[in-house]
Amino acid sequence: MSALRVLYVDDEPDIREVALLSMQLDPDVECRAVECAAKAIEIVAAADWLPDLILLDVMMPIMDGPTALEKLRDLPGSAATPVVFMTARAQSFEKERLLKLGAVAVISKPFDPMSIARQLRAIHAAATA
Amino acid sequence: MPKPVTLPPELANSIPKLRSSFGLPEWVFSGLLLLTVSLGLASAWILSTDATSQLLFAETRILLFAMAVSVIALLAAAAWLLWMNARDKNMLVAQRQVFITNQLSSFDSARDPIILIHRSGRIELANLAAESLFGHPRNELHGRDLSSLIEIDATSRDLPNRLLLSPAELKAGVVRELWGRKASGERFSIETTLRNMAAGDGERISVFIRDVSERRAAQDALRASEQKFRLLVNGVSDHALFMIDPAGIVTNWNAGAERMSGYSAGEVIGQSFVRFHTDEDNAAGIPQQTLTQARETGRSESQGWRVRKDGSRFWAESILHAVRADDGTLLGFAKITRDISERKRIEQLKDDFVSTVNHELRTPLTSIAGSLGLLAGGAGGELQPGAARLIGIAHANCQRLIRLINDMLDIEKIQSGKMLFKMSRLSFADVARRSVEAMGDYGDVRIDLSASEPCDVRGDNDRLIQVITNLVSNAVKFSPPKGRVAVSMERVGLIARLCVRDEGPGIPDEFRSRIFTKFAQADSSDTKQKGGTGLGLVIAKEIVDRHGGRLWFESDVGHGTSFFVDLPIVDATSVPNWQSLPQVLVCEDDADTAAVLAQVIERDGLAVEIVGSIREARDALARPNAYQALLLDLGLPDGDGIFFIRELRMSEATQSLPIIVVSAQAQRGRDGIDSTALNVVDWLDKPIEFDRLQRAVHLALHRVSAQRPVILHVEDDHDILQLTASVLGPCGEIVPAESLAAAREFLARRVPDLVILDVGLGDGSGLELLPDLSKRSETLIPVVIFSVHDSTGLLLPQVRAVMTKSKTSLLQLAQTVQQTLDASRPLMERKIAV
Repeated sequence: MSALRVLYVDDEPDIREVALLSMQLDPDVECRAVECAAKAIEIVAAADWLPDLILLDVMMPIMDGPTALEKLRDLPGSAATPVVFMTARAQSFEKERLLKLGAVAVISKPFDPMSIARQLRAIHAAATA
Repeated sequence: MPKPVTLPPELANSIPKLRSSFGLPEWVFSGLLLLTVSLGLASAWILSTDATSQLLFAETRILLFAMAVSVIALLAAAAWLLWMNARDKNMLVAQRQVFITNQLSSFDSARDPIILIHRSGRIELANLAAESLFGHPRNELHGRDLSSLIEIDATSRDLPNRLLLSPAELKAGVVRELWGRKASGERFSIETTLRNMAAGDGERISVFIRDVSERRAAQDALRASEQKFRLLVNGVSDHALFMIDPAGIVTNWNAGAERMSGYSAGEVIGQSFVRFHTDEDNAAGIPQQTLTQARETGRSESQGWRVRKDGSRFWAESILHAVRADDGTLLGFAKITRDISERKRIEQLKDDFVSTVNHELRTPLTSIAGSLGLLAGGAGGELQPGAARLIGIAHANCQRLIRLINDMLDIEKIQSGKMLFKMSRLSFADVARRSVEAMGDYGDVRIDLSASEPCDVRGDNDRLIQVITNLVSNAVKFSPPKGRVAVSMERVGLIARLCVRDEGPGIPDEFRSRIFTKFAQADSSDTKQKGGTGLGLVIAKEIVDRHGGRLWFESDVGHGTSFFVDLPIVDATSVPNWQSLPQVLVCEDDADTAAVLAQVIERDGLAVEIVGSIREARDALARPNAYQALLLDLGLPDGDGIFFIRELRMSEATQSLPIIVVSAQAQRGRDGIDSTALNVVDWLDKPIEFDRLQRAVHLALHRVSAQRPVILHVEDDHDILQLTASVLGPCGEIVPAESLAAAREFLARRVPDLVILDVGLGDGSGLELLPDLSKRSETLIPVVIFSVHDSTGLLLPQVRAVMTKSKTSLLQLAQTVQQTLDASRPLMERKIAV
């Protein structure tokens, strides 16, 4: 089995680095982190590295997570790819709103760096079962 | 009948004495008559004597004699006429006396004051009631004018005495409201009616009087209070106060309502109150729900958008009170609405602020906590012992800061009433078990869980776990090394009581009163040692309070503390096993509507599962026999409800699943299709009529259970079994049992809806099964005895019919079985709707 390809979008460089480091701890996860949704769309459109799962920050300048999700759904490379949101707005109604947009899961910030990769693998397994 | 009374002497004296028309006494007439006759006789004697004959001529004497005789005759006639006249008068007065006496007797027995007057206004008679009302002795009144008792001219200048006493007035029996005057001089309100006295000489009028001073005072008071109230209601210009009738029609409207909504009273009275609500709310049936709630519970409070006449919206808070008559009849509702747009705006600002602060705090914390977590987890390589300790401290405190932010958010939400509770029926013991299992590292402290008794409560699973986790982690924190924390559950009357007991130092007396206040910790050094936020118990208490329960504690300094969570038990006696309840699947994308539907269905003791899309409904229904009924919205985000019903009907597993359509487009969905093929129990439009929904659910569950009633036929003759099975087929599923043992074996597994019993079996009498049957079910399982023996004398409550094989055709048996099943259906429904 090849590693799970995770495309991660977050505008906060520190969080991006920490999350990337966390995911690199897991040999079964291969993560690419980008700072804006436009870059993620570029990667998917190029189609030479298609993600198995997309992890999106919600609050981002220029294009926020929900808009990015919509755009990604229009691309053949990510039309059906499971999307997970990561948000610092932890209230339950906020989570429900995000799930209604079509995300398979919502991870709240701060996340646990030692288990995030495992969490993502479990979410992917459940979403594609 | 008025009782005759004797005339009191003072009254008898007051009756006019017998008098002649000239006002002369009777003896004058007798004297006059005597004088006339003597005069006549004297003249006749004088004229016939010789003395006169010498003085007068014979002719003159005859003439004089004749004249004297004529004068005597005339005088005699006059005297006789006068005497006759006097006698008539005498009789008239006597009659009047009798009449007055009669009147008096009936007057005095009358409760209302009555005064008899002459047409001139002179008082002739007053009854006892009048006497006591006016305070004048009545003999003083006689002969006085009526105006001395009743202010005829003073109160109404346009109503002089003669008009009051006019024939028209008398004829019509007009009721006048006038002022009376008592002997004391006090004025008071009276009502008068005049009646012409038919008896007597027709000159008399009775004046009926009623003291209405009390009524007048009450009327005045009412008018004053009404005016005050009207002024108050109308003076309120920042609240809309109005009434609606039971059907929701506006019946009155104050100035505040006009100011707030822009509608004048004339535009609104007679219209339904739903026009003030938004189209969305009306489609969801929210205004009707508030009426239903107010009707059932007496009041309902709500917040929501309202629409002004010009179409603009404002955020309003409304209170609806049911107004009932003394006998309980619903007269309507009083509604008070306040425009709280400004408050809403401020709340929104605060929410945005809290949300932003939360986000802004979390963003840096995410990096810090993540980095520290990686370092502490060894992701940055092996750390020196000193560095590892420092990283550990930083990491732990970072975690604490995160918890603090979470707790503060919770507190904020609870206190602003925005924490939403997803209530469902739960096993409290299960919640406790899950909470303890989910606890992370608790070092060397042992946690013992003993929750054997099943206690169902109504609550929010996640929030209750939060409470228990909080209590247990507190207990662990304060436990000595290798201490023991006992979590137990017991049932105390109607309460499920969870106890979390530790062997810690106990709570000092001086701290007990502050334990549920924010940031309260017994010792400030504890904060550092124990890593708590100081908010956990406050949140736990708030959550328990919201569940209608109680969080309390007992503490023994030096020995330990017990925290108790008391929650009301839900229907524990009637439905001990939650899993056995019929499950209803609700497929509705609007969470609020789904919650309302669930509430209505759960009220009937049914279990509800909610899904928000056709995809989820399809997955849920793939589990065999999981649901007894489906409530389906037609307008779902991922497909058309009608197509989904068709799809379900194609599948064998769901082709007969009872489906109830609940949708804003229920009727439209039904139009233009052959709805009979879809076999839908009911099509309910939104706003939902709850009664109809309940009926539909009952009907749906009834279909499940009545679809194939299970009939156990106990009979040792194989041929008869086969024959009856062929005839009884339409009634239900026939389970044959050829022996008592076989019947008992079946009864151990299933409860039949009806039993047909043969009495004489190979291994005993069929009647021996009756005790088994009553043990098997709380409700009586109906039994039809079908046997060669004539057992018509058998009178047991569950035996519905006794049929003798030789006398009964199989068709008669089938009919009896069907009738018995039909008759026991309401029982089955009741069983479901506990």
